This record gives sequence, structure tokens and C-alpha cells, in this order.
Amino acid sequence: MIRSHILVCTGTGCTSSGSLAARDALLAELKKHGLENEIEVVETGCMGRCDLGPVSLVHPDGTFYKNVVVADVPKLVEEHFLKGRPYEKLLPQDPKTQHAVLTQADFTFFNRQMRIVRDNCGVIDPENIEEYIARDGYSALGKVLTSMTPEQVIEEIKASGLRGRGGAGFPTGKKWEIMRLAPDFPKYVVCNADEGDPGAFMNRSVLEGDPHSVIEGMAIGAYAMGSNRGFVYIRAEYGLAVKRLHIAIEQAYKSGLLGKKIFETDFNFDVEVRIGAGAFVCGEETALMRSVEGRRGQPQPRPPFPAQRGLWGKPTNINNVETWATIRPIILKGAKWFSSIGTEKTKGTKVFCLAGKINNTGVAELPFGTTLREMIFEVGGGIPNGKKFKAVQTGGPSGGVIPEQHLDIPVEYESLQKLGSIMGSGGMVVMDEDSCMVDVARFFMEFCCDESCGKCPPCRVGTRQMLTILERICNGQGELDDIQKLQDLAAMVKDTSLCGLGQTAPNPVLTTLRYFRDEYEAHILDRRCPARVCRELLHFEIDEAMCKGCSICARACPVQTIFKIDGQKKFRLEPEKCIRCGACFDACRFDAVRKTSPGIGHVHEPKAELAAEGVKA
Amino acid sequence: MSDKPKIKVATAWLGGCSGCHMSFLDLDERLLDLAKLVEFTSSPITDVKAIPEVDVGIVEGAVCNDENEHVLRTMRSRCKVLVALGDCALTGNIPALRNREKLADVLERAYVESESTQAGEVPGAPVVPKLQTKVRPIQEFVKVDAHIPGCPPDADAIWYAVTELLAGRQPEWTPTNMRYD
Amino acid sequence: MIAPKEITLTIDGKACRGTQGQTILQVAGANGVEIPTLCWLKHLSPWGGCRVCIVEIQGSPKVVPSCSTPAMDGSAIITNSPRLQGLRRLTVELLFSERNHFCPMCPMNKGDCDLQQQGYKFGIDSIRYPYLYPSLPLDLSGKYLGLDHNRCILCTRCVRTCDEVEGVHTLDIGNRGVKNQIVVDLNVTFGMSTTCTSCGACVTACPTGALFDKAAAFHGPLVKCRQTRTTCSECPVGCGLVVYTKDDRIVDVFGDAESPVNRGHLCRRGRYDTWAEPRPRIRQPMVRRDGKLVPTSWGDATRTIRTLISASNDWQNAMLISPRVTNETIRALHGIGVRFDRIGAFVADKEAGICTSPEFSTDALVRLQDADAIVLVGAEPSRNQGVIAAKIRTAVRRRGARLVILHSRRSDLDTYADISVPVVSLERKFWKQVGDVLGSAKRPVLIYGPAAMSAVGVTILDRLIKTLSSAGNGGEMLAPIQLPTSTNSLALAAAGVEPVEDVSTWLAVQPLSFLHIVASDEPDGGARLLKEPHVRPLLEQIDNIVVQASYESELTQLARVVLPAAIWCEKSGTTTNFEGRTLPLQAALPPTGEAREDKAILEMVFA
Repeated sequence: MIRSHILVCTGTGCTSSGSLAARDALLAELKKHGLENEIEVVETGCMGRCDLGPVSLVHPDGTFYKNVVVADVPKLVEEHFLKGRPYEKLLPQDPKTQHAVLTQADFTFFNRQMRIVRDNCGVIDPENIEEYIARDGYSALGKVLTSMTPEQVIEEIKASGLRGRGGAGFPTGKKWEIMRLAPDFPKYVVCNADEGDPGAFMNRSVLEGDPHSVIEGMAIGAYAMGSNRGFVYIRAEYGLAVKRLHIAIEQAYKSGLLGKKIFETDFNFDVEVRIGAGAFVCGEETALMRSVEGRRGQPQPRPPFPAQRGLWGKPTNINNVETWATIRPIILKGAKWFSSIGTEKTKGTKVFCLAGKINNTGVAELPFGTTLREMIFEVGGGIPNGKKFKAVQTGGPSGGVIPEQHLDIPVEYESLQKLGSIMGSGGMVVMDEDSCMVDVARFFMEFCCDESCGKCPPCRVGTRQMLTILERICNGQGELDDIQKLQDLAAMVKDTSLCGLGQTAPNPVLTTLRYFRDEYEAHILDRRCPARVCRELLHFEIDEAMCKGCSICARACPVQTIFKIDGQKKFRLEPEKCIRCGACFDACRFDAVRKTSPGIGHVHEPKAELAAEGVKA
Repeated sequence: MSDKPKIKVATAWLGGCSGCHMSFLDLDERLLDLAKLVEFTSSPITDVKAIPEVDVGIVEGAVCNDENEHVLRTMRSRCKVLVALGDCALTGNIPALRNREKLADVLERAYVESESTQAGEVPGAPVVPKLQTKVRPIQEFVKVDAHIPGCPPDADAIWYAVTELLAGRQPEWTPTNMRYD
Repeated sequence: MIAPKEITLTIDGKACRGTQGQTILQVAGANGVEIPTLCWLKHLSPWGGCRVCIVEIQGSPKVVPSCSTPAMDGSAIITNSPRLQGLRRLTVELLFSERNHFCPMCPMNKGDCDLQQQGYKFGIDSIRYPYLYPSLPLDLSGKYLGLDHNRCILCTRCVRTCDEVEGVHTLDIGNRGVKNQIVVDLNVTFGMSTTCTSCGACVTACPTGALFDKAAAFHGPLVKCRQTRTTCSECPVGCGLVVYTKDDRIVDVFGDAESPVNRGHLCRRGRYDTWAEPRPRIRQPMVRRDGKLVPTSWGDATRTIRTLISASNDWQNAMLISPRVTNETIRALHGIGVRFDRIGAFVADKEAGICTSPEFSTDALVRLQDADAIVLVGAEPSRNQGVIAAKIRTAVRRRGARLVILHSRRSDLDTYADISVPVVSLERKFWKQVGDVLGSAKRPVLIYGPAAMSAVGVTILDRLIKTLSSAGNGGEMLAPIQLPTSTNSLALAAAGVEPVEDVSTWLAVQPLSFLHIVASDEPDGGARLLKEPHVRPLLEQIDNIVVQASYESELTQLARVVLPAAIWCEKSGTTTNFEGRTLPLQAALPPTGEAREDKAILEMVFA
């Protein structure tokens, strides 16, 4: 008789931190105590808190354990399963109260979430179709095939108000209808799993935790749109997701849920996995299609749209992983239920990735309309180390930063756009007072420049030139008209680029200029980095009053420019040779190394002479 | 006309072949008209060592070494309107061909490996202006007010630009009056 | 078929008409509104990459590329707002800043460059952004063409031309973003390429000096050259050429876009063999004195020949003529024929069979353009008629046409073929397979070359026609296309000149005392005659040989008299292609030295 389940996360994050070893240890330990028939160990997909990994959840108690490493397993089994009390050492802490969180339900990170897409993630074994079926899996497909016409399915999706989760937010029902009406045949459906934003892994977590929900959604879509063949385009880096997807597809074929005559109807549907080589631009639908065809992944101008001329010139529908995974709950629970969640324009939930300077990093599914403040300070648990919040970058590298004063806006496609950012895939990178916004813009521009496919000059050269300007500003070589040049270029790249990559690449520059122009001006006019990040603008010195003479800084210095002051137990930094690497600052345990960005006068190789003469004014 | 003070013009020759100055001399008899309106001060063909305060500074050539940069900055600080004359000043042009190679390799090739050289060495005396790692056009250093493209610009193009500038207008280049070669 | 719907829209306020499915650029062009372009070329698929042809559609905040956006009925298009001009200018500026686009040291040099023209158009006198000066390689390993990556703007006109026109897809783009680079095959140099056919179409398509003809580099701007339209004399396809000349020399040769035969495309032979190969010219008449050929005057040479002929008492006088001569020269043979006992045309290998039953295949190229199945029998277009090979490749690769190659030497076309069998079996199973491949074809085309005229070839042709007739679609197949190898061989044959394939047998029929060889501008000076077995000793037995040729060769060493003939670009008149079209020849240059056209020489010497 099983009295309790211990769910062990085997997503990519927890696997990397050792969850498979912990699982083996758990099994061995339970056996040692003769509990193997009472406590079942279940492998699940991602639970959303990879930073605390390996994580586990005990049912029915609802106790959530963090850092379940092999060494702690015996004690965990002893405390929880023998003595019947939570093992405190492995309980997470509430960032606000600093108290241990006893159950998942008490954890703000979890209890604010509303799980529709990730309903099964972290709950079922993703490699076992039985578990999926046990949770009503494939019943939506059955319902659709046996009791609904394709038109009714499309009406249902339209009525639900579902919008594409890939970033642009196009109404999914409308998209399906256009595809259904396309006169050509055959038609293809594609799942876009080429999640490319750095730090975003919501799609991966769904595919790893609940791959069948995506396959079922695709089958329903194919039925509605009149297609018999689907492709999942996924990047090769997502090894575990690819493996689980293959297992899921194989199991679905074996169970007669894919292939010919599904549910003994006339509906046939085949799914193939296509592996991408990991180019950011291949997430763009036209580039993705070329890549699926085996050609160089470069975007094509639209029109023609994929629904007119897609894969091999035939009508093609492309939806994101999350969109496909949302289809099943809509069919099962109804459009009315779905449309009651979210805001007026945007229904349902969205999976967000919280990252950066935030206490609770991880994947969280929240209804549209949740404010940024709720996301960051409640679900996310606020900023660590008592630092001040500065901005949040939404929508990945081509999104924009949003400052403090706009934190109370409800998150949906339009509201983010109004602020100069985008929803994108749902990435949220939180920045605190130690982030330099010029450096942030430079970082994201570097990413877009590297990932530009190079087809159109605005994106290919424009991003490179913007990066050049940002680099020289960060290096303290900015010129007075650089802000104007950046603005001109950004507007041009946004307007004229061929695809979404180029059209959104200037967003970080535009939004940082909009909300943090003073930081640009400090870099250019004063040669100063207010957040003390830009290396060329830093100055290091040792405060003799604080120095305890431990010499750790001198040993850390790679260029030997820290010397002992004669006759004293103090150290001194000779600035001439300093390369401003910050090693001494990081090494000092007594806050004796001062990192400042004092501005003109301390800048290495200053262009001060120029600025003083007003030459370029 | 004669009581109106003449406009002071200085010209400078940075990294270039002096072809643009030659082209300037191709103004021929128009030079006489020009001389009625302007007074030439320092230039590669006058023996004025320092650039005085002038109204218009005309610069030929790219910035290849520290001396070029110094002359350029001095010119900029002493003139009201700075004119870039010719492609080297505008783009780096032929001097910038070396940008694709490493500076050390360029020097080695020129002073040591060159077929006509025996036992050569790279000059290192401090009096020799230091070559910069990349040849750059002048607008990457200072603000330029007007550009005259061409390698060299036609005398007609120079005349057009100069007369426009003297009339207080910005020269407007069209397919009929501009050339890059 | 339903006629496409007519649409009306306004462009810059001007009322314009077009048809549904046309792009904005096409409608604008047809209505006389000019939109600047860079990556667009009329005969290539739209790329939408350069963003120079952007336009605004009233009511939409976006700008769209006019080359790929369909024109919508009732829309209002704006092509030259200040915003568009600003965006275009900045785009061109960025291109200038990206690589080495400095005109003074460009092989293209002055005036043939689209990027330069755009720069002028936008009045770009300086670039606001720093030059990136990348250090990219220069590939001079190709025999005829060079590729300087530093001058490339990545418009992919060459890539698309190579793929869509020549059909070999040698070129593509490699790497990402600013590191983008044209790659040859799997990133090798041109010289190492196994797929490049040296058709030179990429050079023609290149808007800058990135791809250039090595022989034309730094020879000045084509816009300042004299242009002459003429017809290629390398093969019987008869492609139109535009010859660019300056100071009595050829600067470059391109395909004539106006020609209905090749629509601007050429193969290596027309594009480069014609002019980029060094060959020693014969510049003046020569007669043999004391065993040595010495230069002389036309008068002396003519007198010498007449003396030789009148001295040749009871043995025969004969003439061997190259098929590269003009129609006018062929006609002139009538007048001088009486002087000769025999006149023979030295055609190409196995070609005599075709010449004894010459067929002009009217509309062959149009049918090929449209074919959904192509059968080659005994023909080798990728060696001999490159433009036909290009049409076959593109038919297979772009339109999915079926291709069956029988009884032909192996070539790159085999890669594209459904069935390719050099030695054909006569088994029933095999013909069923052929029938299956061609069964569903609606517009099949059969092309047969010289080798099809052998006994085996004829059997194959018969069998093929039967196979297709039984498949129920043989209708058009029954008008096969005859594809000879030599330039004007069909016209020669039609004029009744005996085609000579086996020269030694022909020479041995009767002893000859006088042989006049009109080698015309055969690239090898007619020396291919000597490569045939037994010909050299037979020729050595003939006392009096006159060689009328453009280039020096071993053949001239056997001659008593050598007459300098004009080459293709020095000839005027007409030639007849394999379709039976009479195509014009126009002299682009005056004859070199004392050289004269074949017809003039024959008339002067034998009249």
C-alpha cells in the first residue's frame, strides 16, 4: 500500500544538480528501511525552481524540499518518512520573513501561480503515457474527433480568446481559420520549440514535463485545420526535451493516438521531430520553415504568409509550444472558463521565466493582468541583499527595460508594447541598482548582433554599428552626438528590418534611452558609470583606515600593482598600472577596497581635452 | 568688394598623395577669381609653419599617424568651417588599405621585406610620428562641416563646393556633380 | 485558364493599373514609377533583403519591400516620402560602412556599380558611422573570375543566379550577421569548386566589384565602352552576345538580355572562351619560300594560290570547310564551287548523321522552357551547349521536371536525372521503368544529339517514342529536338555541302593535288583535323595546302599558303541556330592586322 509519493524533479536543471543520483539514493534508503512498498519515488518534469535544485515534493503532505543532494537523503528519509516531520534543513526560506516554508501551498512562489499549461509539469512522469492519460490525457482529442466538427473546434478556440504565446499575440482561432480556408493541400502544422532567448526555458520545461500536452494540442489543431502532418522544430541543445518528445511520440503511436485512424475516425496525423542547430533567428517562423526544409535558416518577407505558402510552398500553421499546450484545457474546460481568466484583451495564463537579481528565480505561470510588481516582489520574492530595484527587462534580448514607475501595469501584450518593450517569450530579467543600463543595452545588442542572420543590412550592419557606439560609450569614448546617432539607427533598424529579430533588436537601446538617459549622459559627458560597472570608467583605491593589511588584495591583483606601505600594516594601490579588473575589490573582506567611478580626471586615456574645447559640440 | 575683409583659408595635407591639392591647382584661372575673395594662409605649398586662426580649413588625407591627428585637431580648433577634401579624408581610401593587416606586418613589409631594401629596419626614433593601428577618416576624429568626394575631386567639384561655401550654402551633391573615384 | 484579375491602385498619387499577383515594384515599373532597388533583378525570385525598395502603404505604419509585396486592389502606395528617403539613405550608408567600398581601387572601376549609383542618388558624401574595415579574403583561384569578399554587399544576386539560372547552386551564404560571406561549394575557393561551370552569370549579376572577370578587371568602365550586339559562334544554340570594346580590343563579353534565345545567360564557351583565352593570331598572309612561311601581301598570296590550282592537272582540287562560317560564306560557295572537285564540311564527332538529315527544331527553346519531362539521347549539353544544360537543370530543380538521359557520356546532369544510363539495355523491364518516370508528363521534350544517329541510337529513339506513345502522352514527343554540336553545321548541310566525319576516308577517295582548308576561327586553328587517325600522313602527301585560319596551329605548318581569317567578333552577316532562326552577326572590332572575313577571302581568291 502506497501511503506517500516523493516526486523528484528530473528536468534539465535538477538533473544537472544531481537529481538522478539523489533519486537512486532515495530508492536505496527507502529500501534499507523497508519502505519501498509504502513510499513511491516518481520522476517528474520541471517544477520551476531550478535554482534550488535538485528539488522534490512529497505528496500528500505538500512538503517542498530544496537541494536534495545524496548526502542529505538518509536524514531526509529518517526525518520525513520515519519520524513523520519535515526535515527543516532542506526546506526553502521565505525571502521576506526568513522563515522556513513548510508546504508548497505556503510558498509565495507557488501559491500565486495558476497552472493551466504547466498543470502536469512536476506532477506526472513525462516518460509514461499512462500517467498523462490518467490525468485526462488525450480525452480532449477524443472529444474533438468524436463530437466536434473542425469548424466547431475553431469557433471554440476563437471564443476562448487565446492568443499566440510565441510573442506577437496573434489570435490563435483566427490563425487557424485562415489556415483552414487556404485552398491548397497538403497542409502542415508546426510546433515552434526553438526557444532562443538566453535565460528563457518555459518551453523546455513544458516539453520536458508534459510532452503529450503539446502533441495532443497539435493533433487537435491539425484536425481543425485539415492537416495530417506535423513537425516539432526543437533546438539540439534541448537534449532531454528531444528525448522525452521522441518517447512521447513513440508511445502515442503505440497507443493509436498518432498515426492512422485515430480514435477509429478517419483522421490521420503524423508528427516528426526536426532538430535545429540553435540559431536564434530560426525561431522566426519563415526562417524556421526554411530550416525544417533543410535549407539555411533565413527569414523571408511576408506576404506570402505561412498559411498561404509555407513548408514546401504549402499552407502551414506554426504555433508556439505553450499555445499548443493550452489547447487541451480549453477543449476540456470550455472557452468560457478560459476567457474568464486574464484581462479583457488577453485571456488565460502565461509562463514567465524570472531571472536576474531576484530571490525566487524560476518558471512561474501567472494569469495575464498580473502586475510586474506582483511578479517581482510577491512571486519573485523581491530583490536579494536589500538592494534597490532598478528595472526589469521583459521579452528577452530584444525586449525593453521597464523602470520602477511602471511596475504597476498589468502585464499583457499591449501594455508592454506601450512602454517600448514586448511580451516575447515571457522572459523577465530583473536588474538592481548595481546594473549599468548602458552596459545592459550593450550586452543585449551584442547578442542580437551575433544572432542576426545577416540577410538585411539594417539588422546586419545596423546592430553592429549600434554595438560599436555602445561599446565606445561604455569605454568612456562616447561622443556628444552618439545618443542622436543611436536614436537614428535604432529607429531605422526597427522600421526597415526584414524580420522580428531586427525590428525588435533596438528595443533595449530605445527603452534605456527613454528611461535612463541620464546614465548615457553620465558616461558621455562625465566619463562616469553611475552603477560602477563599465570597467574603463572605474577607479580603485584602498581606504587605509579600513585596511587590515591582510594582503589578500595584493595576492589577487593580476598585475601586481598593490604594494605594502613601508613600515605600516597597510596596502596601497598604484593606479597607473591598474587594469580595473576588480579582483582586489572582490577579494577584500573588510570593504577596504573602494570602487568608484569619479568621472573626468580619473579616466584612462581621456578625451577630456576634446570635450573641454567643445570641439565636437 | 575690395573693402570687404578677405576670407582666410588654410589647407592641410595628412595621409594622402597630395592629388587633391593638385586638383585644387587645376582650378587654373579660377584661382585668380578665388584669390580676390580669399586669403590663403598656411598650406603645404606656403611656408607658414603654424596654422593661424582662419575662417575655412581644408583637409586632404586620412589620419594615419599621431602627427596627422595633431594637425587635424589643431586645424579644427582654429577654423570655423572644416572641409574634408577628397576620398582619403572621407573614407581612409588607399591609405586605409593597410587596415586589413596588422600594423607590425605592414611596417615589416615596408621597411624590411620590401624587394628594394637591404638590411632594413623599422624606424623607431621618437621624432618619427607613431603610426596608428588603423587609418581612419577625419570625421571619426573631429566634426566636419562639408565634404568634397573624389579621388581626387574634379577641379569643377572643388570649385562648386568652394563657391557654395563662400556663398554661405552647404554644397549639395547629386549624381551629376559627384564622383567617388 | 482564367485571366488574372485587373487591379487599380495609386502610386504617389498616380492612378496605376496592374494584375492581381503582381508585386508593387512590378506595377510601379509598368506604370513608369521608378523605385530604387539593389538586391532585386528582374529574372530572379524576389529576395526582399536589401531594404532599398521599401515603400509605404497608406494607412499602415510599416514600410514594406516593394519587390516582394503583392499590390492590393485599391491601395495607395507612397514611394518617395522624406521618411523613406531617409531610411534608404541610411541603409546605403550602412552598406558603405560595412566593407571596402572605396571606388578608386575597385576592379569594377567607375560607373558600373549599383551601390555607387545609389550613393550618388542619395548624395552620400560622407558616412556618419565608423568604417568596419573587415579583413576578408580575396579569391583569385578561379580561372576566369575573381571574388573579393571585401566588396560584397551580400545581396545574393549571384547566389540566386547560380541557383535559378545556371542551376548549379555553387554559391551560397555562410556564417551569420556581419560575418556573412559568400561561400563556394562547401566553403572552398573557386579554383577548387567541383560544381562551378564558369558560366560567369554571377559576375553579370553582381552589383559591385565583388565578383569580376579577371581579364576585364581594371580595364575601365563598361559604360564607356562601345557595345555591339552579335551572336555567339561557339555552338549551334546561337546565344545573343553584347561585346564591350574599347580602343580596338574587347573589354568584356556578356549575354544579350534582349536575345530570345538565351535571355542574357551564357555558358563558359560564350562568356570566356570567346575572348579570355590567349591564342596566337595569324595577322597577315604568308607563303612558303625555301621551306619557311614568310609574310607577304594579299596580292602575292592570291597569285600563288591561282598558280597552284592551275598547275594541278589531272589530280583533284578539294576544299574542307569549317562549320563556323557565316551563312553568307556558305552562299558564296556556290559561286566558287566550280573551282573544286569536292567540297566537304569538317563537322564534329559523329555529327555527319545529323547533317545528312538536318532538322530545324522550331520553338525548341520555348518548349524546353516549359517542359515537365526531358529525355536526352546521345547529347551532351553540359559539355557542348551550356545554355541548354542550364535550362535542363533549372527545369529539374525549380519545376520538378523529370529527366532521363540515355546513350550519352556521363556529365554533371546525371546528378539531376531520374534515370541515367550511358549504355542502354533493351530489356522490357528497363523500358517499363522509363515509361513510369515519363508516364505522367504532359509536356515532354526529347532532345537527341549526334550519338543518337548510330544504329543503337536509332533503336533507342524508336523504342522511346513507342514507350511514350503507349503511355498515352507521346503527342509532342513525336517532334523531337535535334541538337547538333557544330555552330552552323545545319545551314551547311542544308546548302548541300557534304558533311565529313571521317576525314581520312574522304581524303583518300582520290589523290588530291590541291586542298584549301577554311578553318575560319576554329579555336585550335583547325588542328583538330590532325587529331583524327591517319589524317596527318594523308595531308603530308598533298603538295599544295592552303590554310585559311585565324589562329596559328600545327595545321599552318603543313600549308604552302596561309591566309589570315577574321574571328567571330570581326565578322558580319548571319548564322542559323538549331531552331532554324537566322541570327545576326555584327562586327564589334575591325579585323586584326591584314585579316579578312572568310567570304571576302574566298571571293577574292577564287572569283
